[in-house]
Formats: sequence, structure tokens, C-alpha cells
Amino acid sequence: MDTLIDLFLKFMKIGAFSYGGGYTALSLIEREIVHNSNYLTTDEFLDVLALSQITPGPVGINASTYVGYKIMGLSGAIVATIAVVIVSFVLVIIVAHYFLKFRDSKIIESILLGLKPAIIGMILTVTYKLGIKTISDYKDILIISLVVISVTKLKVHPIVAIFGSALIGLAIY
Amino acid sequence: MKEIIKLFFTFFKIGAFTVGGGYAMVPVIQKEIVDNAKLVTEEEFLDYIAVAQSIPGIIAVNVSTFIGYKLYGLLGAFFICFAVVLPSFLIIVFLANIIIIYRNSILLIKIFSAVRPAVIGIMMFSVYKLYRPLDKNKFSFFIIFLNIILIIGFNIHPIISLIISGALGGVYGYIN
Repeated sequence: MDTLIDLFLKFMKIGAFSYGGGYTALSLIEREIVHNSNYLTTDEFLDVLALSQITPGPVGINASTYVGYKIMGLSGAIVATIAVVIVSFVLVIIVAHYFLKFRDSKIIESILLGLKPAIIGMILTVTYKLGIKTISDYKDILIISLVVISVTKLKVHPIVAIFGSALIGLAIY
Repeated sequence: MKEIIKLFFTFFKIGAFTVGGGYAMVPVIQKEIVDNAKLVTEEEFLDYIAVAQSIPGIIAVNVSTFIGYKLYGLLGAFFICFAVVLPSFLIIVFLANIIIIYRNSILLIKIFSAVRPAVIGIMMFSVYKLYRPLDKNKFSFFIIFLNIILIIGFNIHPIISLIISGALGGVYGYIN
């Protein structure tokens, strides 16, 4: 029960601060679940990332459900999924009810001037941290290079790149 | 109630079949709700997206909740939010079970050995995608480096550095 409450609070926090898309949620999950509490190892977290990207639906929801399931089974999955949605659900209702136009306000625009680059810095640090723990030989570097080149230069869809890597993995690992 | 159930299945379908994350879901929602069902006008929909983006959380879920509330009130918001999240939940729980059963098979070990570095590559790509449309001025670079230093150097929680960055953005916007 303690773990479930802890999961609920952690994912509520993650949902409440996931500003700017799924990768912000993923970065916060890394901090709360891997870095701060050792619920998952780096490898397990990377598996979560992969699975949440190749499956349908929002990446942030997929990752939360999967992490919850890995830690506490079905009850963990339910708790994590509800928790990650609940804060924004309430906020959306309030905003929809009064139809507050945040975007029009100068203050929100200014805050976004800080948040947008902050999210880039944050995702960079998570990528770096995961990278140094994952890369152990030339094969890993080869895969990373192939993926980066194919998604940026060849415009391959990230999901196709992940499946492609899986096939290469069968051959070289 | 009949309309809510119909809308429930529309959003369930969107959640179940849209691959590529929340941002990929928004145009699909638009097509279903604006073009096909004509429940919301295009202009209203664009307003909803703008608002949903200004609220923290998963964008596709926010847009869905917003539409549910606008059309059918609190009950609508609850059902539509539930509808868009449920497929993810079911698919992930199903796959997680399979992975847990077969996690020690050579096949999965090999696949995941390659998929882990692949995910690192995808994350680099996501940084690139966010970086491209960014206003590349001194303030933006300052904030990027500040976050890296705070999070890695000082082990500051990313939520704290996000709040600091938002506050600095507020001050910067106010001055300019």
C-alpha cells in the first residue's frame, strides 16, 4: 500500500509538471523512478521508453502505465495512469469552464520563453545520463549513429527506426 | 448519453490506432471531430489546442478532456478522457505481461540490446526537433546551459529548474 501511495504521489507530480510533450514526462519519470528511488534500473527504463514509443497512444501515458505495471502489477498500472492524468484533468476542466485564454496573456508567453529552452536542456541531460550508462561498445555507437542519420537525414519514422534496430540487434548482438 | 457513448468509441479508436505519441493524435482528433462528426468548428478546435498546450500534462489527453467538457460537461470530460487513455493502458498491460514472461529469452535480450541505444538516438532526435524552431538568442542558450548545470552539476530536481527557468522567462519577457 505504501508503494502504491508513493507511486500515486510521484506520478501526480510528473503529470503536473509535464509541460511541452511526452519527453518532458519521460525526463521526470527518469528522475523520480530511476534516479531518486531506484524502482527501475537504467536498462529497464530504456525498455519502457522503447515500448511506449512503438505502441499506440500518448508516450507519457504508455510509459506511466508500463512503469506502474513493472513496479506493482495491475494495481500499480492503474494508480500510475490515473495519477499522471488527474492534475491536468482538473486544470482542463477549470480552464474549459471559464475558457481562460492563457495563450493570449503576455505573462504565459514570457514564461514559455524560459520553459522551451529549459525542456531542451532537461532532455539533453537525461539523454546524456542514459547514454553513458548504455553505451558499452562500438555496436551501441553504430546503432545510435544509424538511428540518428535515418531519422534526421532520411526522414525515417522513429518507430520504423526502432523496429529496424531490433532487426539489426538480432544479427549483431 | 447515446452521443457520449458514440464519442467514447471515437476517442477509443483514436487512442488505439494512433501510433507516434500525443502530437500525432491531435490531427486525427481534428479529422474525426471537426471534419467527420462536425461537433466542433475548426476555429474552436484551434482554440482548444492552444489552451490544452498551455496546461501541463499530456497534450492529447488535455485536448480530449477539453472537447468532452465543452460538448457534454463533466460527465463528457470524464468519459472522453477515459476513452483516450484506456487503449494505451490495455495494450501496455498486455505487452508488459508478454515481455515479463519472455524477458530471459535470447531473442528478446538481443532485441532489447539494440533497442536501448536506438532509444538514445531517438531522444537525440527529439532534442533536435525541439531545438529547430527555438528562438536562438543568448537568453535561450543561457537557459539551456543553466538547466544542464543545475541538473547534472548540482543534482537539482528538473521540476525546480523548470520553475526557475519559467520565472527567468517571465522576468526576461517583462524587461523586453
